[in-house]
Amino acid sequence: MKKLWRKDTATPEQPVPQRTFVVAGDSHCLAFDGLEIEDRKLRARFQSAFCSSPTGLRASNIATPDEGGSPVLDGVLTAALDQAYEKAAHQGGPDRGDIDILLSLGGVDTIVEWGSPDWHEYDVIVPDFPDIFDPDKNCLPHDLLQEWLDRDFHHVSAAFVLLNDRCEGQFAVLAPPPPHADNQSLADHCKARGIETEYPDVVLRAKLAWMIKQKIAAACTSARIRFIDTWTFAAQDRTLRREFELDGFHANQHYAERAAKLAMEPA
Amino acid sequence: MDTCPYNDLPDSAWWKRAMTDPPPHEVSPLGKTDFCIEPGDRVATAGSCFAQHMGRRLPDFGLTYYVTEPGPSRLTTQERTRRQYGLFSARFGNIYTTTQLHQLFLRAFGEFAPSDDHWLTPNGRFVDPFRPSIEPGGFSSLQELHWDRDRHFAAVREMVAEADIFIFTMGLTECWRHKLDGSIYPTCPGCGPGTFDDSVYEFVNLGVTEVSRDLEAIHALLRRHGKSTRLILTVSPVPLIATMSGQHVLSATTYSKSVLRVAAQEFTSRSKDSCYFPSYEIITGQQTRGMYFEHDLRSISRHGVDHVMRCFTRTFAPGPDREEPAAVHHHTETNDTHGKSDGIEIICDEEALAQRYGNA
Repeated sequence: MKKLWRKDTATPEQPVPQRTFVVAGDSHCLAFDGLEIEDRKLRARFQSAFCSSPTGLRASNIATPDEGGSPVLDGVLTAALDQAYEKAAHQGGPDRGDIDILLSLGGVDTIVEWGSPDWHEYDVIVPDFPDIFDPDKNCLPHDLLQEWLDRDFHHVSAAFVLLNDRCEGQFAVLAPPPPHADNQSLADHCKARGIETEYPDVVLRAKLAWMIKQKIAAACTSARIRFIDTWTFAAQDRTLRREFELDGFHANQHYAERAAKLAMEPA
Repeated sequence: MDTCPYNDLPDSAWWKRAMTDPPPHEVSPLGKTDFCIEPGDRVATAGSCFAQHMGRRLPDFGLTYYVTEPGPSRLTTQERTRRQYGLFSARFGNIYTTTQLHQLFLRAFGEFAPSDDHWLTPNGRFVDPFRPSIEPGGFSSLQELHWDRDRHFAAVREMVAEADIFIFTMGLTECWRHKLDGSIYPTCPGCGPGTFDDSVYEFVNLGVTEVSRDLEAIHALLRRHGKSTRLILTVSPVPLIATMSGQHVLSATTYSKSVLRVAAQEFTSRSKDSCYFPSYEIITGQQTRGMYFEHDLRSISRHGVDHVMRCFTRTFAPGPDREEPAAVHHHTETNDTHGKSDGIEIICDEEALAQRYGNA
């Protein structure tokens, strides 16, 4: 039977307990690699398990039912988890039951992947902040975006349940980092990697990322999985605070540290 | 010497030569016209559901279908159809009557503001009374509806300003009107979204005078805001799905189509930059023996649309390189293509009425 999330806190008579977190997922997980954080109650080591899926690992494609199951989940993500477990065992690390898994997913990646040459002509009204829209742009119906997200994220909740079942320690999902506010840095990042795509400017990108984050949060709620909302500290106007920017796409290690501390807190 | 004036008439003037002798698919009931659509001309469309065929097929013949509200390029074909992007030149939905089109233009140019701003659905969604089916579930907020409507009006203005040719397919004379401000609705309020209230809404069956007046007003507005836009009028061959006139639906259909046909004739004979295109005659004429109607005797088959478009391109856009739809000699479809023409989905607000109330 699984332990409850972070019940293992220290007492004055006992040494600070140690715990290992494996942050599995797409490239956003790399910022966590090698982090060691200690507070009064816990000493935590973080290692990343990068899932190099040919299609990239997105919240939207960790389960692809059309291909007879969930290939990314089965073929890549669980393989990464197994590797992480083996690595820990090889290094004389903790038992699998003492390894907690944080799933790190991309949100901005999905938007870039959606690439559309006319993104810049559109904006959307998001009910959470209805007054922010550009009336000179065309209206992208909110329902339409929801349909796109529903279609792409349809099986995410089920995938979370599967992953949770396969993890012998605790399992939680990290929010995708907020998107960078700087269009140019995103453009540079894409160009450097040969990604030829069109993406929305920052206002729409931030709204889409917000909707994706909310979608993942809802999937977690539905699956009774812990969701770690990093936007509480990392976002300003729904974009990544400058101090957490890395390369136009990813958040940096300071972000990872703050996220790690959130993860270390009791649920 | 024979002085009878009938002696010199062309074949097209004689029933036997024009209708009995040619194969049905070769009948082309078009008179002489100076109209010509060049490949670069921007061709805009609006009208009843039959008009959706026009827009869809224009690019097949090398013509430029001018769409000012195309929707996001990421949309799939199904999403595009469902939300009515590209069905017409702008996202107006079906425009069944001449008054509806005139009022749309007035609203787009800020010259008319109906008192019915929006309808609320039971689940708290917002519906545009004048485009009730463009957002399948309604708009998520009033702000979104207003914003989308503003952008729609901008698209309508752009269409009026930039189109070279405007094809309007006239569908109905029966409609519902707001008693106070005269707003005309595409569908009866309350039959679907909205709430019917006979102290607010009234049934109207337009006559030739009203339709002619609307056409004159539409023409004047195109002159005022457009760049010498030429107007092609046609009458939809699709019968009424239901009538409120008290007549039999066939008689009501005959009246409706007759009014539209007469008004079109009178208007185009007065206006040199307009002409009439006989979609109605091509589909419903005796030469077809009804073969261009589907089993519901209402939907138009793919072959019927092909015939219309064949005549259209031969008339307005002749050219050696233009592809023409192949003619068929026998009509063999047996599928029930309710709301469809051989698999092509047609958005018809009237169909929704029949599905709900008419055991369609």
